[in-house]
Amino acid sequence: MVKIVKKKTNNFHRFQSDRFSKVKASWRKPHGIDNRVRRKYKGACLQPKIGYGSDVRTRFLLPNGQYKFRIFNLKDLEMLLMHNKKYCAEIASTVSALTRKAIKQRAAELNVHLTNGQARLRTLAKH
Amino acid sequence: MSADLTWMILRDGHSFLIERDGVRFSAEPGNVMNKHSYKYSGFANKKTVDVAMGDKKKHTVAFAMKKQGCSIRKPAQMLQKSNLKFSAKLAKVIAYECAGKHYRADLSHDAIRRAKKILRTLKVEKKDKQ
Repeated sequence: MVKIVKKKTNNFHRFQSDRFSKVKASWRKPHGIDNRVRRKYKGACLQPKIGYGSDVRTRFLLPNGQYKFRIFNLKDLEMLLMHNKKYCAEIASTVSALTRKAIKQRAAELNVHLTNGQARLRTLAKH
Repeated sequence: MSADLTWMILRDGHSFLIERDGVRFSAEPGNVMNKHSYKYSGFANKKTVDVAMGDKKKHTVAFAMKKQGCSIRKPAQMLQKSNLKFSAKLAKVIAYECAGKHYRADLSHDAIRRAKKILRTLKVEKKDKQ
């Protein structure tokens, strides 16, 4: 198996987002005619480009070596029966605690890994 | 209606197809791998095999083959079901039905795998109850 390598783990911040609070950190490509970042001056901040992308063989791969598949109900989970090595399931955020409980139990039977099997059930148990 | 024409109609989308997170899975009866492809499609192929959960108490797996000459308008009647008991011979029985009868030899391996996975789910259920 190919080792997962992330070439750059920190985020790209928008140019001058550190100077003004109105300029938020989320990345925007500078387009100004005189912009030093756009013109790639020495020491200017880095811009996202295709070279930072992950190897195709490990792209979207989770640290456990599986791909993520979002599920909403038991029916979605059943589809992963034959793919439980390659795909793991993630319960969607809109799913209720009751359904989550049923999904968790069925996932154990089907041997499908859940990325968030404890979510919401944990908070329920606390109250 | 020919299998190819059916597939041409179904390949862009049908109610059993789920396209999400960059993958496609298909949940129709007769799809052994739940894959959206011509080979595995439960609707397009005139001959296909279905392996599903049977009677939980009796430990059976529901094995079905497509009836020949059944109307395409009645998909519920298309699959001829039979219950197979879990035993050491199960794989042999499925292999005989798929490959031995020259029905769908290419699905034999996947059908056996599916039956075994269903068997495993029953074992886990049993363990939980104890």
